[in-house]
Amino acid sequence: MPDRNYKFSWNLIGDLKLGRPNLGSSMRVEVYRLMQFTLRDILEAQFGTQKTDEVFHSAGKLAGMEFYKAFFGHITEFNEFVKVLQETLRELGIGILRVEQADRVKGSFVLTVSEDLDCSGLPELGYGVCVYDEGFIAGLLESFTGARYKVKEVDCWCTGGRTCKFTAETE
Amino acid sequence: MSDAAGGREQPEVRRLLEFLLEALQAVEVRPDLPEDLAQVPGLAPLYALVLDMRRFLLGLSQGDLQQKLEHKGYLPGVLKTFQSNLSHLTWQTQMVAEGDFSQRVDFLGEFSQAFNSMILRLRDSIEALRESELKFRTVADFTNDWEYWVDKNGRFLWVSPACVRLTGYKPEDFVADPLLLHTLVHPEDRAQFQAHFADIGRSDAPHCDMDFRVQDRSGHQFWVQHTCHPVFAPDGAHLGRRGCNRDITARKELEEELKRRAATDFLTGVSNRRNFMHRAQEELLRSQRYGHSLALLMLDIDTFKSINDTHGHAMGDAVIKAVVAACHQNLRQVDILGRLGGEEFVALLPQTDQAGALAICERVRQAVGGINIPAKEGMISVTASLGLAELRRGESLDALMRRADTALYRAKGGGRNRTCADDASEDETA
Repeated sequence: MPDRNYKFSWNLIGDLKLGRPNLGSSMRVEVYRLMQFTLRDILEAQFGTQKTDEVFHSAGKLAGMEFYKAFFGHITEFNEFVKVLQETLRELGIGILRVEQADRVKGSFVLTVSEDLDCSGLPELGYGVCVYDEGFIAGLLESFTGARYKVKEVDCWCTGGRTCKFTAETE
Repeated sequence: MSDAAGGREQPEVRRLLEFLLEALQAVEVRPDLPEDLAQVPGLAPLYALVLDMRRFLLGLSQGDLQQKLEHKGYLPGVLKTFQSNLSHLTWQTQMVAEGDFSQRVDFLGEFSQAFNSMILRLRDSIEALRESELKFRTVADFTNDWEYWVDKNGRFLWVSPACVRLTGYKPEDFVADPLLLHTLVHPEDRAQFQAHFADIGRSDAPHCDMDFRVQDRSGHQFWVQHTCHPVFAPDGAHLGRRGCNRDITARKELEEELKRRAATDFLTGVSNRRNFMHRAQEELLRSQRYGHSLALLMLDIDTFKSINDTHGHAMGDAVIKAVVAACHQNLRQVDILGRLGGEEFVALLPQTDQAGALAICERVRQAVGGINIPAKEGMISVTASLGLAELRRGESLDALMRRADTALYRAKGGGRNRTCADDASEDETA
């Protein structure tokens, strides 16, 4: 018996062609958000806001690292990495990634994600909600550079921004 | 201002609106609320937002993309999105500058279209330029000639790879050391080359065409034809000089061979009549200038026609070669020997008076007399008759030759195998 039921594997995504021959691999964003925010609700109620954010950050980071391994592991040049990442995120409907600043020597980046899957269109809440994205970006950057990154969302749709802005610095 | 109901004045509201309008419109505004409005509920955060957005907008209008807008909400959010878009554009432009022409902008409306069109035009232009450069580089790199371009200061800006084949040095060697070419030019030709090179910075220096010798890296020497001319930019600016060194060693060797053939007798290798006359004329002028003595002898192989008739032309040629060998053995290095035609030869003897010339003639005559060539019909013996004359003051070459010829005629008439000196019966020998 394995000690864990849900250790991540791409196998858990399943064979969608086989399993969803009529509905296909797409679903509506509302359903994704429904699952995310009900999950947040329960987690927050049971473990508190900070712990919930930590869980989402860690999950996002794991997703970023797995995403990197699955799609970008062969890329060595930064600009090429950015380009393919932009194309992939857009193609999968995750968001429109753009680079504001990139200082590879210092390991300092400013990135934005427009039409973000998690938050675009949400009401103004006065705080950012893209903690999963923070982890996701950190996972991607850490996988590509080999250095640990601290990623912070500085602007979010939920704070009145029209695009989510993230700063990423090496720790 | 009036209220909605009765149009009565509400001075506090009017004052508040005027203050807010001023906060939006005035060039300069106060950093805090005036005393009479300080207590209006909610006005302080609103005024702080207005001030923050004024500062942010001013910076944005001046191209400052690093500043921060701390306030949240729709208007600050829109402004920050605009700032982000300009930052994206900056980054994408930097990527284009690094050669990434796949960058496209899709978030700035008409500007996006203009930017993307510019990138496509730029990409097409650079590709066309690269293609063009490749064509010219292919032509330049594969030319057999050693081509180069030097700037106004004599520095090499480009050298064709052919220089490696010709000199053993790479293009970068010439670029690194502008004087390398000078050191490779043959020492005897260097002054001529350097005099020409001194004009390299002059825009009016004419087209140049000269031949000189170059030594390659291993010391092997070869000839080049050097041509160069000034180069100008389309706007007329003087860019330096375009040069070409073509290996003409084979041509030079052929020229030398043709010159030699044109100057020498094919059978014997001695000067032919024309070359002898040219060299003799120079020697005669030199003798007259320095007051040196000069003698001229003419030699005719006796009964040569009968040798040809009896033994054939091949044997006749062998006799002629043997006579020339006998002459060479008894003439000095400075003497000039020529074949006037058939079996008749002439020799100019610099710094030689009649007595000295007579002694030389005799040695020659006796050496010719000692020639014996085996033939089918038996051994061929050869004799020669010689006439000599010493140059008189102011005498021409033709006159000197006529007198020597007259002496030769007398030697023939006197029984052959003898030497006759002009105007000196006592010098006759046999």
